Amino acid sequence: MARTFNRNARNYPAGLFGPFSIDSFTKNDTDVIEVRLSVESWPTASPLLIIKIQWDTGESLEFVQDWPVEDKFGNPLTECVYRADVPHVASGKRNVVGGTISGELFQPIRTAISVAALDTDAMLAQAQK
Amino acid sequence: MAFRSANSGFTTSANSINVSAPTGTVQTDVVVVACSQDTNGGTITLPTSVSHFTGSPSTIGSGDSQRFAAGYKVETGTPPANYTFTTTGSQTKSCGVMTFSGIDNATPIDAQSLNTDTTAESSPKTIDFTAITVGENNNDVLAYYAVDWDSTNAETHAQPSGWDERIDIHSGGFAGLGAATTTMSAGSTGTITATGTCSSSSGGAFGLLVALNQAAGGATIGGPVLAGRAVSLGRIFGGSTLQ
Repeated sequence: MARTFNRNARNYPAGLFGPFSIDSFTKNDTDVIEVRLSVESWPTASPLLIIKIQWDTGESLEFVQDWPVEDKFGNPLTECVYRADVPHVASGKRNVVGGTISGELFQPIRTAISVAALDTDAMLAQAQK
Repeated sequence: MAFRSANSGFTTSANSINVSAPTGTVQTDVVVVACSQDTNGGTITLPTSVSHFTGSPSTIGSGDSQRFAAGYKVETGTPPANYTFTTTGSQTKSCGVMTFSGIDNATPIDAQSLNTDTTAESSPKTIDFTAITVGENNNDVLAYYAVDWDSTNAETHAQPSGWDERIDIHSGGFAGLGAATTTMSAGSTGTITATGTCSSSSGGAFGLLVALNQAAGGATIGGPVLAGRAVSLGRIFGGSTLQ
């Protein structure tokens, strides 16, 4: 089952946020850390923001979000999704137990935030039953 | 020589993804990267100093299409903090980085093929690879694969039978990415397939197959098998507790 944190939409000024910790999970019950941001009349400027997801094992991913925020047909997106997969090593998945999420806003934005540690394999297995 | 580690991620919208060097990556390692993008045009720029594999980038379709790019580099110095993938357009994409130790730095690539299968087939989609000839016993062989689904339903990948899964990005239909590795004897790889699954959908696929040349006297690096333990998610965002 997905374990999530949700925060309703609010205004955020430009600046640095975090790092905020996510801890006490394992490679056995987590495949992905996922961050979702709602797009609420974001300013038309680039770059908009950077989201960084850092594992306690050292690996990280940074997502650089520019304007416009749209799908491949040019339709505006109402939500941005960023995911970091649990890294793999020779013996399988790396033994993660925690991580952090941080953000840098280059423009003030309004957004709702959802963060989840997901067991995507279990979710897919359930969906395919 | 051996697979060392992998790091990967996905976004619906970011223009650039900085994938950190997998922990443990060192000078002389060979880095193999790939990016799958749901696109209606535009380009994928692979990380600095990466050489594209033959056939990369490749595209399926012209309108509701998908693009795949992959390449490699030898780390001749201290590995960078990040491998940066940049695309034009804020479109769905997955990016992966795998590193290998004990590879011949002068001629890292033994053989490679990139199969672009434009035939849309229903899920589960068989991802076909074009066979290659492995030049030496015990060479590492890696595969990257991606399916051009026409759905936003959740997807997953199954690696070739007997291979070790290294990346399996569940994209929500568009632009996922899978990767796996194995070790093979000299000779043809024969028929190799992976599988993509996405309910109520169909699509074409990309299948990249690469054999790496081992360095003379290359060491094999393996990690301990670490047991997981059942726990719960803890605190986030300044102390708020996740339930």
